[in-house]
Amino acid sequence: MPSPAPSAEPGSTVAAPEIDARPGPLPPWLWIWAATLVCLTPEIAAATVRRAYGFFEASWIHHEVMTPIAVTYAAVTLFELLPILVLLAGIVLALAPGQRARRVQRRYGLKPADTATGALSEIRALIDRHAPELALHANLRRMAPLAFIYPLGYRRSAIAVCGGLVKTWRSDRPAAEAVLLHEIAHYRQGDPMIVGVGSFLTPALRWWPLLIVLFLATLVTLDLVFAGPIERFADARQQVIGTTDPDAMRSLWEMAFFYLHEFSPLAHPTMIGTVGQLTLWFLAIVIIPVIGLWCAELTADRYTAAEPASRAALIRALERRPPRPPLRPAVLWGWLFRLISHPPTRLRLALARAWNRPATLLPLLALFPASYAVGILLVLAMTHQNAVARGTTDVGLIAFVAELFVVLMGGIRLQIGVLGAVLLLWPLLAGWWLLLVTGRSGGHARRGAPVLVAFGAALLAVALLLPSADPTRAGLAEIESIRPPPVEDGPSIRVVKPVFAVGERIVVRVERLPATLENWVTIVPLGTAEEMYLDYPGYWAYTAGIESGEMTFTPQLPGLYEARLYLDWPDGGTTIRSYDRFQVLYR
Amino acid sequence: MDDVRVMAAHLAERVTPDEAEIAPDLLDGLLAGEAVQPAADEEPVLGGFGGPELVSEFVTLVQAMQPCVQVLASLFLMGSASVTMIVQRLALRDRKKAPQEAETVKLPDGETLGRLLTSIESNLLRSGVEPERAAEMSRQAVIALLERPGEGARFVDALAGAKR
Repeated sequence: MPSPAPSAEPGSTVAAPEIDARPGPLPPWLWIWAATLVCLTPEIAAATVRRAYGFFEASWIHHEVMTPIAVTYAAVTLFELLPILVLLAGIVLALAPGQRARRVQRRYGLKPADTATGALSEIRALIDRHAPELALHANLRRMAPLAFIYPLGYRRSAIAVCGGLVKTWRSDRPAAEAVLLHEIAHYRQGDPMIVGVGSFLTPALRWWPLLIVLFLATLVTLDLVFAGPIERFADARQQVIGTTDPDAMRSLWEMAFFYLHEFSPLAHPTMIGTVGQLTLWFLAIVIIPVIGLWCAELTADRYTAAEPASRAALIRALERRPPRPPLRPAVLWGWLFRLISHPPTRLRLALARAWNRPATLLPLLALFPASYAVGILLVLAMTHQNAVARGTTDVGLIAFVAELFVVLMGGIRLQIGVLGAVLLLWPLLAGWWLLLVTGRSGGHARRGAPVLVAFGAALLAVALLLPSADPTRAGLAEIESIRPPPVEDGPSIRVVKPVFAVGERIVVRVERLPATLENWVTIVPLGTAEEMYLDYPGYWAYTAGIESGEMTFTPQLPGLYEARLYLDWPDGGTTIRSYDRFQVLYR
Repeated sequence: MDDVRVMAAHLAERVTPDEAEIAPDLLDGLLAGEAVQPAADEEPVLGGFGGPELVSEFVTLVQAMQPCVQVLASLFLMGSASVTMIVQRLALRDRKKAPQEAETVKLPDGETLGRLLTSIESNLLRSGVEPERAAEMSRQAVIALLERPGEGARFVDALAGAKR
């Protein structure tokens, strides 16, 4: 974001900016997405810690299992976090514009442009007509990219140009001007800082195959080196729970089984399936910011193409393609890398040719909200692949998606609602946003307001109609069917509610206990033998002489549980005097 | 501006006039071993415009001349009469009227001018330049060098010492 003061570069001639008849900014999707991710980060971190902690808990509960195995399996769960960490690192870098500026300047060899004479002075003059506060930096020792925008600080940005732009300026000046207008549009949109969130996406994509290989190699090594402990770990369910009830698969050992049977290549030989799952997961996480970056580019194209002459010039600039190179890995990687930060050129060309029609705004507005749905489809594809591999479903992918898509969309109804509300209010907010990011108010045409309002209202309606994805409601009917009726007379135990989220304290109420210090309560996975309990803090406790009152427990693993009341240890033996059932679910 | 940069600008004016303004800088980058041309798998810049299509013809030409620096250097050992004759003949051929005489001229190192032109031309063809354009570029490059022999010689010396 710029300072209100114009740049003071040598040779620059500062003029008052033209009142721009081009369209104003569209909602800053990337800013909204980044703010949402930052807000959700504590919850994501807590959920990850809980998942990793589950392995320790599983290990400690069964004493024969070596803790290092649990440590290792907890560590590999972090692999799933990698795409989120990549995005958070991008956000951190984006919020440190000085740092990013130094990185960009070093990489592209940028310096303040000498605008005393030649093409650079003419380029400076064009920028001054639209955004005089923008600095102009250059490196003419390289051809590409033509131009790009980057932040110099929190309130100051620069347009960087390379030799290719000067060449274009001489060979096809309108096309070069269209490129500069595109970059100025990025600036007016508030993009210079926020596009930095994608800084680590390309390196992550570049290293992703190697990371997957390392990940699988770790698991193979684990299987070879710790074959005995892993087998005992896998048998633990049988030993502790002592049941073959399929429901028990969703109990204490669910997490351990997940990794042992799905991620461990020797336990589950479909290594390709594992790679596919991890890749789908990566795509599901990064799809939203990638589409956000696409929207930023398309919005800048829209600004540039607002007038027929510059639309034609933009199309010419986009149509410049290199001769089709022979297909080789470097070319394929280059194509993939470009897709991370820029939409396909064919899409840009198709929209550029249609920007004179107001309805073209609609697909642009729909693109970013649609990325949430695409992300959920990718998660469902991964989950289905998992479920098929585990043998827990024989439903086809389409039926699986049909059943769960709306439920999962319900989980992001708040985000969809926010997008709808922003769209609805954007005709009022656009001017303020422009003032915030450029330091100047007004100077833009209010184009497409009816489309914005209508689409925002539709999105809000969708958010309101989606079902709530509260996990405690999702499992309610199932658990209620297996709960015992309340005990009216005599000692009783009852959980305060039947479904809890992972990490939530399990509160049980005991009543009418005889006054002895040796009454005790335990919570165990459903199906555990009567005489067994989990000798681990958080899973059992003496009642400490109370006759009635509440006690809390903290199991960290999802599953079906039973809360059990035993009286008068040791004379009372291990006879269950009262019990209740409940479920722990992931959020 | 030193002689080498002056020669770069002159060469570009003759062969790739759109790049005349940036040719000295591109040459500096090239001599320093920097990545002047975009790579096929170059990481795109966020919020940027343009990528691998932005190939510099000037850089392609200089890279095509680099393997021929020894023969090119021998151009400057010729007498001024020979130089004038070559430039005139090449210029005539440029207008598609002259015979191929210029190409039979023997250079001091024993090569013929024709083989020098063919070498540059084939290097250009390998870089994806169209045949007609490659022939034109190689002829114009030699003319440009001989038009300013003092600066041309230093330009060729600089190419010989460039980082690869």
